[in-house]
Amino acid sequence: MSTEAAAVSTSYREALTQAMREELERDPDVFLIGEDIGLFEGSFKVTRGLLGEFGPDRVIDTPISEAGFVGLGIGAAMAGLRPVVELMTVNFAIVAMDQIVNNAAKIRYMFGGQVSVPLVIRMPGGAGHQLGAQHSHSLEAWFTHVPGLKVACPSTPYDAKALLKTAIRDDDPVIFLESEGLYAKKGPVGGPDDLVPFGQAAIRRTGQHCTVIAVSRMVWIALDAADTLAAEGIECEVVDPRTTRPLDMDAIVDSVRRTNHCVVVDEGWPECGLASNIATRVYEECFDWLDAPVQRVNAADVPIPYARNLEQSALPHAHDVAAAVRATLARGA
Amino acid sequence: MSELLMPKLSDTMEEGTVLGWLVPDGAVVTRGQPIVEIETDKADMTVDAPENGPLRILASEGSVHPVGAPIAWIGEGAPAGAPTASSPSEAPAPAPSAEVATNIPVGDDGTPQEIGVAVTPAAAPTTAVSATGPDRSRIIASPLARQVARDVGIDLANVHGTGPGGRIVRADVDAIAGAPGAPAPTAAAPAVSVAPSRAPTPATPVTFGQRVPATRLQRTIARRMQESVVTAPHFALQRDVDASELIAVRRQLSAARPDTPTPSVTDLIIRALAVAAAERPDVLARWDTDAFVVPDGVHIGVAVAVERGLLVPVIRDANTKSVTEIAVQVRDLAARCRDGSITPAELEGSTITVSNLGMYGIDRFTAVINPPEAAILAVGVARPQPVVRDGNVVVRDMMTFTLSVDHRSLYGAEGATFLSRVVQLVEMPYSLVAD
Repeated sequence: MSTEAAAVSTSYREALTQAMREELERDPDVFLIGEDIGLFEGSFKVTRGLLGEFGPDRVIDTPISEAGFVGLGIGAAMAGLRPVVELMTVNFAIVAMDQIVNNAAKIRYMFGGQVSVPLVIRMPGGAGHQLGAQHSHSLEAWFTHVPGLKVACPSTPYDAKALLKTAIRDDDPVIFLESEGLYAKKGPVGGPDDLVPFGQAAIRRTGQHCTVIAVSRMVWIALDAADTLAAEGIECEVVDPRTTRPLDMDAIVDSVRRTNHCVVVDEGWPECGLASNIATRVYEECFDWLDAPVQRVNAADVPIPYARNLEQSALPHAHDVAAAVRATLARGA
Repeated sequence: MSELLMPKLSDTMEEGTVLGWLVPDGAVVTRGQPIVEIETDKADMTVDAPENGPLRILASEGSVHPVGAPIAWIGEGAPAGAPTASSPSEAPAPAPSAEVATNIPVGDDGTPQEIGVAVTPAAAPTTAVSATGPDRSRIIASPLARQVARDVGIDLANVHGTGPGGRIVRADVDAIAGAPGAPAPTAAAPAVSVAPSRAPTPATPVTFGQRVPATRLQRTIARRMQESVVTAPHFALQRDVDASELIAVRRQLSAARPDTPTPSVTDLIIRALAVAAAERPDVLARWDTDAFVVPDGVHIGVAVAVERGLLVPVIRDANTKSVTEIAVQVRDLAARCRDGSITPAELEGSTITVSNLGMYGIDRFTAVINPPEAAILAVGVARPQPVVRDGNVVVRDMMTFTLSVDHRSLYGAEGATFLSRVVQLVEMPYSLVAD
């Protein structure tokens, strides 16, 4: 991370606001659109102040009509603008899935490259706030599944800002998955031109015994687990892919070939999930370097419960990651 | 209760002879207590009890068993009156041992049965690998362990797996390969120690009209030498070597440092061979089906004649050792080869061998390659000979080096440049003692 920014401690939420403000200033084709992003300044206050600074032509409130305004964003992008669409949460992307999968992801392909869709769709996801089964999704895997989309999952304020700027400047549709649980997370951020390229993982901690690949908020529980395990003499290497499509397999392969053990952590469900996919790619590219089966750490294979105690027990925690690392190393707790 | 299996005490050991039980059948033994003497292809060893409990002997004294075959039961629950077996085929079918892994989390079946984080292991073996005995048809080993075993030439059938479900993991292979820093296996493997008191069997005088039974060591030598000649297409390269300077250096070392063991001519040649080999990893590469396997270092085998046999102890990483260190180590290894206290680990892993028959007055000879190495250097005696130097006939101490080469691994020109480098170092011997 750039040194001049290191002294500044900014929240993940404010880092996103900065990214949008700077890109709105830099490029008149950029505009924001979504539910309650203007007068209400966003359900998570990520667009705070932007209506006042840039006016209603560039910060546009919409009715509850996700399929409609995502489609509007796609059309505007095809026409040359750079819309940044906010979906209140990832759970509401489901009603816009046809626009996202059938239009945003396909148009450049189906028009033979004559037109592209420089669109960003931002949305927070993740569970842990007692919002019930319908509003607690982690759908990284759904979007990562689709060729034609790019998927960014920042875990730090620095990456939140730098990846969002990269997303806005990208000529293809980017699904930008924020984590509700990280909005208050503070850390350094970069300046107006500090970008993070897509497909470049970050090594959050180095270690020689086990590679732990973790996405978004899971990076932090992986780091907590690594602290616990270090006290037991187990050194984890925590790899944060930062974008799940494109996925930085070079970094993952390099790490696993050194540690010979791998645990993958994502907050989604285990079946056909992101961790499953990354584990498969590890098997494909590192088979002869593995000394034990890859372990996955996921949410329980159930609708996320409302009751706090049940919800917490359904979600991955640091102790689950530590247990998986011990299991792959065949070390007792 | 567990089975005591015929341990694999060396890389090349395929079967072992039960020389004698040190405790009677039915006696209660304690973990670590020496209980049986085993004759391997390289040395006689005692094996310690892996756990406490009554001993039920399966293998009679003098019987031969393949590595991994059960030779005894130890612990409570041993089958009463288990038959004493004289051959592996008569041994009872192995029963599930105490090492069956029971703590493997089973993969979920997709049905949410309880609320809890799904830590989903990849399909874990639920069968007890470690209990299936020597006939196991499927070896459970991690891909990495397989790769490492392939690289170092270890047969996984003889590796004891300590991972979940008895899976062989890298540490298990490293433990056998003697890799530096390899963690010790966590499961109880029979502890092995060499019986230091055991003197070599005195040779019976050979008389005419006799069929003399071969010792295991002699059978191993026979098998390996035949294997070498049959599988490795040998050719030999020879160089006459001016050893005058080498002998002078040795004489000076002896005079200048009377308190330090004086390196022998062989020690200095080992040093020269090590220095040259360190520059040429290709010379050490063994042929393996479709590839050249380059070893991890310069480990020089030194042929040592022993009563009724031949042993090749190994100077590991010889290129990192001074001539004096080599001299001390060669003396120690040779002495222990002769008194029987050498350990299998000290007889394994050489990557090139030197054999010197100069002390028997042999001028030159062609040695058989010590498989799976690619070359062996045969050294003859140094004699004063007339040679031409600068147009004049002078007398120099001359000896002949013969390098036998496996033509699969190494070709004529490569062998020639290597041998020439060894000769150059021997003829300029101050380089050998300079560091």
